[in-house]
Amino acid sequence: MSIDNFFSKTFDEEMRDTFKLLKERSISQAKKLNQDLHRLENLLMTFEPFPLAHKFDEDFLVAAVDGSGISSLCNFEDNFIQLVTAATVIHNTNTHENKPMKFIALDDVIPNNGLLTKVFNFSADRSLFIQQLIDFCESVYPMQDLVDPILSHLTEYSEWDPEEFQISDKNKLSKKIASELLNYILFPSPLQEDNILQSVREIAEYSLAKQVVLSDLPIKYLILDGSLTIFPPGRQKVPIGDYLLRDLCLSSRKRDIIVCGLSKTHTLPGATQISDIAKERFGSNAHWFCRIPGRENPQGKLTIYENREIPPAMAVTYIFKFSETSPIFRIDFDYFWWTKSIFNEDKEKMKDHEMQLFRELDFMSHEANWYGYPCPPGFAHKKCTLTHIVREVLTSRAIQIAKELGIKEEHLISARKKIGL
Amino acid sequence: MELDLGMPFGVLAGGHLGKLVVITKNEDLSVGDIFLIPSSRGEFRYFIFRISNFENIIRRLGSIDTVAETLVVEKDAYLANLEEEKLIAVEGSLLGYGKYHDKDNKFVFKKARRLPEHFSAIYKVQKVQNEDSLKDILASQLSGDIYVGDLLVGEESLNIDVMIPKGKIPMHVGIFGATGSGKSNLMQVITKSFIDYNLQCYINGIEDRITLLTIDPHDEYALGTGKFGIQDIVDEIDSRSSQVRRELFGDFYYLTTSIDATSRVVQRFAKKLKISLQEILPIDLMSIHQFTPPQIAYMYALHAVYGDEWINKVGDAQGFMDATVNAVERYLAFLRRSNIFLDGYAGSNLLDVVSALEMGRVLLFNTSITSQREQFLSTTIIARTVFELRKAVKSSNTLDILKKQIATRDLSECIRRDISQKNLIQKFYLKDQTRVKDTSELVPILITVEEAPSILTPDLMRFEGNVYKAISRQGRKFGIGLAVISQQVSSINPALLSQLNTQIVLALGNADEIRLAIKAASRDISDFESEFKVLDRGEAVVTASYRDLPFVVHVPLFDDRFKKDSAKYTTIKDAKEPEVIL
Repeated sequence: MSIDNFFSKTFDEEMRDTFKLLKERSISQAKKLNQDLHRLENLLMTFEPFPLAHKFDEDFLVAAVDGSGISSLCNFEDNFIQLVTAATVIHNTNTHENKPMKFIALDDVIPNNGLLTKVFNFSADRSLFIQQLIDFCESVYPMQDLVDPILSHLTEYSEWDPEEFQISDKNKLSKKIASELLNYILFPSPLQEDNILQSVREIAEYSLAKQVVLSDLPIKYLILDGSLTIFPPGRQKVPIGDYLLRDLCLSSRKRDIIVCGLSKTHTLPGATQISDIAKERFGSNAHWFCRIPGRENPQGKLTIYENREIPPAMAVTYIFKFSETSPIFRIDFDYFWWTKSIFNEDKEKMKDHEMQLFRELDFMSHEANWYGYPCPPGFAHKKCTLTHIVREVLTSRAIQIAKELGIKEEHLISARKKIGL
Repeated sequence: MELDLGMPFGVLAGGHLGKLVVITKNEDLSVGDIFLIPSSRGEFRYFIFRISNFENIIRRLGSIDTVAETLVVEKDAYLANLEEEKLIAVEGSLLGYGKYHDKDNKFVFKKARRLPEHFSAIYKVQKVQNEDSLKDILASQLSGDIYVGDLLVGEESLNIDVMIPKGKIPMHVGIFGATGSGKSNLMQVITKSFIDYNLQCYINGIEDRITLLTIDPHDEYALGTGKFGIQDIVDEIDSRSSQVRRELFGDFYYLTTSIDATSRVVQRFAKKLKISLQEILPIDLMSIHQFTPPQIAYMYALHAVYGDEWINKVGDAQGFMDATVNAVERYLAFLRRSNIFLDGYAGSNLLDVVSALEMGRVLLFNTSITSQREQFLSTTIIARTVFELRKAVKSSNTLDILKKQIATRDLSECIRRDISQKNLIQKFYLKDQTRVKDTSELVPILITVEEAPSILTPDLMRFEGNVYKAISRQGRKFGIGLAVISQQVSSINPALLSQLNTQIVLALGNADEIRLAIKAASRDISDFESEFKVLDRGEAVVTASYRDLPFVVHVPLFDDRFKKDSAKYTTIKDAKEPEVIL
């Protein structure tokens, strides 16, 4: 179909109508945000970034994890094969050697130098798929079985909302989980390849993150890709990833590791307005951050987010902008860590804690490739990403192996690819 | 056969047969550096890759411009892990590959029709570390008898000799280089190599010598421009064994026009070149000077009437116009003034020179105190004489036929007579009492043509009877080769250029000369254009029609070469001197 057919009058009209709606919505949201402007005055903060020659009293380690994959490597009848990759990098701030953010070699710590590559094969048969996903999870995530992370999640839930949920007998609960495991887990449909890859990717990322946490390395920061949003606690069934995430947070707290989820796309209405306010107050070059208040704040959430899970359960959310040219990013911290390490009844002390936190995050964001964005996740992303050529080569190799085993190539290539649709 | 190549230096990234890209560590590299790429796709091979260009890259760097801008604008910006991220993206070409043949126990070199496999490890060829591996793989491309220089890889010369096979001497050699590029030193080194080869043959009892007649326009070679010269080799050998010296050099190796002007140390082995007017043929003069058709006709007419005495008869009009006669007379006047040319055959030693050439000797002809005409004419006469004698040999299989052939060749009467009287035919051209040698059994002779543009001009080369034209076209059949030496490629006739099967090109004067050198080469060396631009003094690109690869060489100073090889001369023993048993 010619491209001209898309640029019809209808398209123009619909786009106009859509943006008009968005604009109206934005105006109404701005009105809501205006009600909390006085609160933002105290939440919006700027700071002087560390200079290039800065030396921390003690250099520290920052780990980051990211994942990638191929959602449709091969299909064979009702079987689907995906490839998932995840990578972790660990940097030393290394300011005392004047070579900031030096890589730490991981061979002795994490197999394959922190790169995980797994083939995930699943069936369209739902019951088989469920077992395959559980098996996959148990094969990569450092745990005895899924009972532990589910128990961790419920333990945290009981701390998060003690009125709603209490654990009277952990052992009993543990046995219940073990016997009714499938009642606790929300599985995607086996026919939704992209959703499945998303799940498997998450599992792979959290696996590496857990290995980092369990290693002997004195990690200070563990940066995950994406927010710490989970299904609202209290639901009977949640995705496996949510359990693993909370398990990770619990393990990290035990080792004084700061877990945070960094999102390139903030998805926060009003963020642009907050950024404009910051620009007006601090100047366009300012490095600033702003906490999005939640239950830790006596006045609770912002009016604009009253019907949204922002911040997410068991997390504290900030938005920040570390340079004029970089976008607004979002970062979530584990709530329990935050209340212990950042929160203080003394507002000035709390402010100092936040300043210290964000100055350190800002220092990691001075890497010239991605100025304004913490570089460890950037390097992790580069490490795990499969380029188009690599995807083609891997797919081709997979088919070759199948052929060596007597499977015909024509049975492996998806119909869509075959007919070019 | 697995070679020890040391530690990998990088990885093959991509490319095609025409150009490869490899990614290497951030270490010092140079255009011309060579890498070995082992590959087991199909059969096990060692590919040879040569750098033609490279650039600094930073791994994981997005847009280098954006990063640079950020570093300028944001004063606190840095590049994480910079040292480890610094890499070099190298471009270059596959020269070919070596495959080991177990049966023959050696490597066979093949031109690049294949590619190494994805992400092959690459190994930099480095002196001492793994140069022997490269030497083994390229043995068939480098082997020979006459040393030209050390293989130059990047800026480092390896302990790998680049040689010319003696069988290729008659296929002609071109030596090009601007003033100061190192031509003189190269000629000295080549001269030494001829001597060394002959010495080795003598020591090994092999009758397989080679001859070089080299023109020394600045009288540099005998005493050398540094501490040592050819004379030092002669003296060294003579001090160990006069017999060996006599075998290799006879009583002379140095030709001059004035013994008095010759250094005392050289005088012992110097001979004043004397050629009689009677040994000059019209064709010799026509090969060095453009005469008009009437002038040519006049000279031939005189020769037809007066034979060997024709020069003395210039002035006898023979029906030609005065202008023609006068012109010829004027031109030939230099012969009367010359120290080389004498009237009367008695004092001539042309046949001694010819004999030396046929015996496998090295001769230096000091032309620093001769005029250009004298130099060109005397060289032409020597070349023509040897050429004609060998043409006679080629056309004969018995002594009788040979004598008849000699009688018909472009030779002076006196040469014809004396070569027979002095039994030189038997000495040089017969296998036994009656059977004539094949020309392939004769000593290969290389004659240098200095200042070639002055004598090998298009006009002169157009003349059908031109001696150099004939030798350049046919010399191979008779075992005579020319070494054409010139500062410029452009001034050599293209037809002649195409005959120079070995070309040694030192630093040239300008881009045009470089382009011409690339065009005239017998191999595709278009990838070497950047190499030509950075050739240092004493460095050259060597190409040959009988080799698959061009090579860049470093020609060591004669003095260094002499010192390195001094053991060759100091360990000579006189075969007839009895061992003293105490």
